[in-house]
Amino acid sequence: MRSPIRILAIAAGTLCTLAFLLVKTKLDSGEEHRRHVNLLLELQKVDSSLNEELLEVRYAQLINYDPLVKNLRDLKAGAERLKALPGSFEEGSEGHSRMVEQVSELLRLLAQKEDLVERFKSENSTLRNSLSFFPVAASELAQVLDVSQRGLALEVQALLRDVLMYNLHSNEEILPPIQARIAMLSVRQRIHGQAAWTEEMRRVLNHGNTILEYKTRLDRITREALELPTRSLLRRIQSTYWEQSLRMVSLTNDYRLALYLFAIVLMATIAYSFLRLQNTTLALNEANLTLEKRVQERTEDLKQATNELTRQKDQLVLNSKELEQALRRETEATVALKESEMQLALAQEVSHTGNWVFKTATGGFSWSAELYRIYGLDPQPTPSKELLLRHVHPEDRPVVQQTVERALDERSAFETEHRIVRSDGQHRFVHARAQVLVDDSGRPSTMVGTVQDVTERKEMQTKLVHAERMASLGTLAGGVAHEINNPLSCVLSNLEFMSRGLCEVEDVAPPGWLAETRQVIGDSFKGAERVRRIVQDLRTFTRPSNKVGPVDMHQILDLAITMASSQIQHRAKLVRDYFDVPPVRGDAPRLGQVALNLLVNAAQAIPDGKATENEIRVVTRMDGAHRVVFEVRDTGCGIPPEIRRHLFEPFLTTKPVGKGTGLGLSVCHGIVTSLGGEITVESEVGKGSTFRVSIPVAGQAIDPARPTTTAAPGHLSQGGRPQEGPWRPAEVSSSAPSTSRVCSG
Amino acid sequence: MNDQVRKITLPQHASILLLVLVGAGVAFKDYRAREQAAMEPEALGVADDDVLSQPTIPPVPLTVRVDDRKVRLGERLYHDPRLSHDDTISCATCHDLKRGGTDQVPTSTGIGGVLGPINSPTTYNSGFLFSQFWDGRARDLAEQAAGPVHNPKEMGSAWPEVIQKLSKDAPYVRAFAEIYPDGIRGDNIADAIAEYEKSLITPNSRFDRFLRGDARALSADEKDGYRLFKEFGCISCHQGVALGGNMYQTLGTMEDYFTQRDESEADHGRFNVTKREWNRHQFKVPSLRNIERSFPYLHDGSAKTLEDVLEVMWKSQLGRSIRPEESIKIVKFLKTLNGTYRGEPL
Repeated sequence: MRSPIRILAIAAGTLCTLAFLLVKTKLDSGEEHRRHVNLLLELQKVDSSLNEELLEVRYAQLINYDPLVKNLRDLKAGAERLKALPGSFEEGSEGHSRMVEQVSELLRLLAQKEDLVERFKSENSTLRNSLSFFPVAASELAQVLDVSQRGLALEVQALLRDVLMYNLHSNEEILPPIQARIAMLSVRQRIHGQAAWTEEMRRVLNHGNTILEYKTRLDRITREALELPTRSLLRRIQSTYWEQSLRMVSLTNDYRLALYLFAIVLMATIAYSFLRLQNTTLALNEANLTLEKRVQERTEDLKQATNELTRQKDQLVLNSKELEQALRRETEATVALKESEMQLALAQEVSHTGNWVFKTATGGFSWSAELYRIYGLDPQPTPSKELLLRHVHPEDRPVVQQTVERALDERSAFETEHRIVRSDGQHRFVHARAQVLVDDSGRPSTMVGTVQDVTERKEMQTKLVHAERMASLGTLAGGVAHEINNPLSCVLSNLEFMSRGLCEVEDVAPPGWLAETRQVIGDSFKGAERVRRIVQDLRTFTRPSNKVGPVDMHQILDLAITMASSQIQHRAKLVRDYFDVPPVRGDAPRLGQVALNLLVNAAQAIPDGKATENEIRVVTRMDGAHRVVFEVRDTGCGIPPEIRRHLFEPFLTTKPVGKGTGLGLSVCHGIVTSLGGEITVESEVGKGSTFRVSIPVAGQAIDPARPTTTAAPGHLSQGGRPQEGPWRPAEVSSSAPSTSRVCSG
Repeated sequence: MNDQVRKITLPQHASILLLVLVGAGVAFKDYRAREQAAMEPEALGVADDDVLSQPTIPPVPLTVRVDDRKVRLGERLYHDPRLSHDDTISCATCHDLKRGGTDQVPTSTGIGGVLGPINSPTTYNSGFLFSQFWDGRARDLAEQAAGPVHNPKEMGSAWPEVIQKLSKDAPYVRAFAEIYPDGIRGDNIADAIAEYEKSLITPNSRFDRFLRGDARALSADEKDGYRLFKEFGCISCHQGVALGGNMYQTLGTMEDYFTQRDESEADHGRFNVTKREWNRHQFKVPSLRNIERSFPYLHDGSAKTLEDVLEVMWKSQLGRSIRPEESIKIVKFLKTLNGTYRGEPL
């Protein structure tokens, strides 16, 4: 399919050509041509007529000059009209210029002809008149001439004859003699001017001359007028016109032929196009039919295929449904499994119980995650029985090993509680169980066991026992105190009385006795006071108190010192290094417990007997603005690093079995941390130890900057100031401050 | 499918080819025919005038083809003195229809009482004259009309002046607008006047009736006068429908006319126009129709009566003498040339 632009171009070109050819053929304006041809012919005719008339006038056949006038006028008008050339004469063409030239020539000739005709008319009239009168005049003259002028008469006759002859023949040769005769006669006439014949003679001569003159002229004029090449010019104009018009006609004809042929070609093209169109239509119809048939076939095929596919699809749908269900079930199962696994793991985590499975057939040993955690192991090392045993506390190992061996041998269950040492060195208490499973044939196939971290329980137990002991102790102490109070009050009041009484007998008593007695009473007071204080402190100490409030550290420390004095007395000097400290936020009995514990430990770190060489220093100071620190320094044997690590753990004791429960420091730790404080230790073996406790000042919230987690007891805070140099001597006091009664005298 | 489209059967080809050939054949035939036709000159008939059968003096035609509207307008203009500078002189002043179409004085008096140089010819039958003015300087009546208007010795005006005056006249404006698309203009005024003058034919003179076959229209003397008119050769110049007016002739062919007095410029006649020697003293031969009414005669108006002018004619033009009784007869004949205008004899 050709582009629309091309088609448009072709169509435009065709139309233009057609239009062009049409225009060119239209150029044949027959009317104009006919008129022009007519005009040319008419002009020729008119010219001919004019010439005819001139001759007619000349031959005296025509006297009326009106036709001459008309014809001349028509000729001139017609010639003017010739100037308007028909369209076939193109400006600048050779034909055109020739035509213009010829027409101008014609007009010029016609002007000449007009002049000639005018002259002709005038002269002709005169000549004619003279000719007609001349014989008359001659005869009139003859009548008046008498016989004596016969010679004259003969002359006149001769003249008449000659003139008329001349008029007839226009013979140039006879002109001179005639003129001579006229001349002669005119002389005669003048001489005889008085004669009767003079007038007539004059007339004759006048007319004769006129005839001669006018004849000659008129002949010439006539000839000139007739010989003007107007006719030939008109013919030439005509032929010029013919040529041109022929050329134009021919050209037009050619264009017409071209137009016809073009039209024919166009028609042929249209015919072909039409045929093509028909063919196209037929082909199209055929193609259409074929297409339809094929489409139908296709449609059938497709239908079948579709049905098949539908069937398959349905099948697939069913399959997929089943699959879906299976998948769902599996997923559910998996989910349930996962759920149960998670629950198991959680349970283990929460209960700090790990489990292991030993397959006797394969020897495969698998541990649960919690088990690894309990032992502080990465879940990587291949679990094994040896690993389990390796982590058992060396002291407990023999027993455990034995138990396990026996169980394995007998394929029976076992249950133990023992300490383990985690990979990070921590000591934990675990409760281990195991059981043997048999397969269908009764042979042992699997051994399963659990290990539960029961450290906390144990701790709790010990704390509980301790607390119970303390409680019972407290109750006892309370009872004892109460029992003691009464007699004590009595003693004290008696002493009071005695003291007062002493004042009364001051005057009469022997001097030395008074002083001594006063001393004795004083000592007794002191002793009794001391007892009361002890009782008081005991009550305070054992009183269960959960009240947290501002507590004076110094008071508590003094009390603790008092209570531990028996232990300290023989071992070391007690030094108080007290700075001013504000009250701390704490629980007085508990803090007292802590202080007492530290002091007792300090004392027990020093061997007996060398009191003067050793020292126990109690220091209080501020640590920043918000914390109060008290320290218990001793010059004891120090604590080795490996023990220091586990110092605040329960069940750690360096005391021989039976002496200490190993609970003290962990309890202290618990108490201190629950008050938002910190307890730390510094020690050097052989030199001594310093236990430092920092408690927040009363009124302070628990400082978040300082982690006060009640984390696994294995967490040690290695804070505190490093020990600075040797012990500095401080005020030495021998005992707890006591109020001494002073008698005002 | 393209092949199918392109496929055109042999019969189809053949039929198209046939049509093409036939068409071409027809075209060529036509072409040839036209060529031939162009070659042949077209035979056109042009009527032949049988000149010889025309009489020497045809009678005045009874009617003349003129545009009536223009004639009416021309009549008004002809009689309108506003064509003169001081609104005193109209065409009719010197060419009075009641006085034979002239003013019946030797030479006319123009504006401000100025005496003109020449005798005013009659406007009656002036349409038959082959030129206008004694010296033929105007080709036709329209050309002539402008002459007196612009002549300082006659109407002493100019077209612009005239147009201005006429433009104020609503009927004129209307009339002009009706006839002439370009309104009141000089050439339109002249055209209207000319058309009117063409209508001033005077048919049915006794002579014309005689020419048309009424033998009793003329008396014996008048007939004789006509014969003598022809015999003496008066008819040589005074021929045609107007009995003159179709040629120039020298005044004094046989005897010099102008020796008796000094020549004026007007006396030079056609020489003034052509400057050719042979045109000196040549004047348009005047028409003899209504001659009785259009005295005095000759260009200078020197011949007061017909007898006077005939004397001049014998002497100057014919070079002969005639007997008195011949002259009387001719005069009688001449008096039969008075026609009628609008049914009224002049």
